Amino acid sequence: MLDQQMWDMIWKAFGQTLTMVLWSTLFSVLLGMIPAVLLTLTAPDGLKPNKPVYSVLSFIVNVFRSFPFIILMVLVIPLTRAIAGKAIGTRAAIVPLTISAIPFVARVIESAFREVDPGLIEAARSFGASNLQIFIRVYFKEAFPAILSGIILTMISLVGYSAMGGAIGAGGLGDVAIRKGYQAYKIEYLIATSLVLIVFVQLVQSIGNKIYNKLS
Amino acid sequence: MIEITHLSKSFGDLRVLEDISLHINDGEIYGIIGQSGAGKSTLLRCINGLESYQEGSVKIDGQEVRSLSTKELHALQKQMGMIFQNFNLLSRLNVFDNVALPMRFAGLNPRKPENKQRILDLIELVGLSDKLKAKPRELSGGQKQRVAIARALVLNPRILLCDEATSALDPRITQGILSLLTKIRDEMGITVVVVTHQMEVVKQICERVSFLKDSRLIQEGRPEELFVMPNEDIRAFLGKIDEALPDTGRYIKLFFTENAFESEVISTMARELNVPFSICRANLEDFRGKILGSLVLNVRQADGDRVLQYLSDKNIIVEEGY
Repeated sequence: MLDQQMWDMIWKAFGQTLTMVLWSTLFSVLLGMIPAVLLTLTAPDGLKPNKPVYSVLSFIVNVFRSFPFIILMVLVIPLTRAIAGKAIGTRAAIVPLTISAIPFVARVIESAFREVDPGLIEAARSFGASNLQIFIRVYFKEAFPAILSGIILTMISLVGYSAMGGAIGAGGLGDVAIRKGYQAYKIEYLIATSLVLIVFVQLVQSIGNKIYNKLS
Repeated sequence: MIEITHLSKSFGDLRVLEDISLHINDGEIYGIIGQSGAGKSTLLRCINGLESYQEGSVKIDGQEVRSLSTKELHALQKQMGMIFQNFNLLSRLNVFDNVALPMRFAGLNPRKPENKQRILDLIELVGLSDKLKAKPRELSGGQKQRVAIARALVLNPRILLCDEATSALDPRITQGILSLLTKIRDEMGITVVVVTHQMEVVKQICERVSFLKDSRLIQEGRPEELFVMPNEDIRAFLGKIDEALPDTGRYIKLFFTENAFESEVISTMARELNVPFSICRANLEDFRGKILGSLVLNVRQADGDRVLQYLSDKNIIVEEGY
């Protein structure tokens, strides 16, 4: 609209944001599922109650959740380098984003599992189902829509976190907004990036809601 | 056969079952009745191993439930179906898939023709053939319980455990579920164990019943034995507080434990003894088709002994007072 250069820049940044958000959502869901399942299993009212495991795991999850993202990003630089091969850039940002989202995903999925009516678990046990069968055929089946909306929630909060990726040269819309819009005081950049983000978040949320309603 | 001997169980310091002994015969409809918190549901869960127990024994066809390995227990549980007060259907599965669920747990494929037929037959038995694709939220409470019954029967169990299965249903729907349970027992010869706090349920379908109070088994027998001449605990449970009657003459209570038509004895008595009396209270109930209960007469002070003598001669169980 105002100038082609701005839109080119925003378009490229949007691609970077998308890369960061999608990959870190995928990895954090895969990795967050493990503590979520363990927390559900070992909870006092779970299938295999185990207080020490539950408390330790719960503590670790809380510790990771309380780190401010910007600090976490710096702290995990060695790990980032080991996994992504370098400490800066879009790909590198996926590592801290994933790590910060894992405990969040773990809690979101754990609470989705927790919402499953305990009566269903009891019914399944009464039919001689094994714990594995109960997890797959009852917990996952019943909690699936809630898990999905938890994933959407994770994705949207990752959009916010990815804005800080600029600090390690990851680019992205947030970075454009900060450097061009805020620091260089070009108000049109601020407005344009915000608009793109708003539209994107709305889109993700409404697609998520549609799928949720269809499934539940 | 289910044999329970000297069964005791605690949750921490709380004693929930205290020295329970009873046996349930094959093909019987057996009731366990009592107040909430009396231990009925826990007792039921000891039968299918959902709860463990500390003392005593629970044997299913000679197998001690507590001593089974996890695998053996799962196998035993597949021979016992269970239905619940809140139905416990999976909300995201339709009627067919809910009924099929125990099959999947047992490693059977519900799409295989013979398995599919079994599921469809059961859905027909419970009268829901037109609801195959419906989700639980589209069904009424009674329909949900019917789905749960079909699900409980899908692995062809020998025992059906019912945990307050009609407590969330209104009286008319309850009737339907009770006749369905009786029909299932009659057609499949399955043993049915019913846990309930509803007197109606026990009276209508149970052949034998045990009454639990404060974790203990107070009395066991046929429902009519327990409820026509209830003991103090059962009276308290039934909540029957008899309002006072005028303090004149003598009160005589007659119990009809075999057939209420025995009550024609009082018209014969009126003719033969030629004594005036009034009927102050009658309490007749339907026990699986038999009408049984009690009747309270008031007679003049002077006629009391003659009336008592006459009735005992006729083998009527009588009691002075009301």
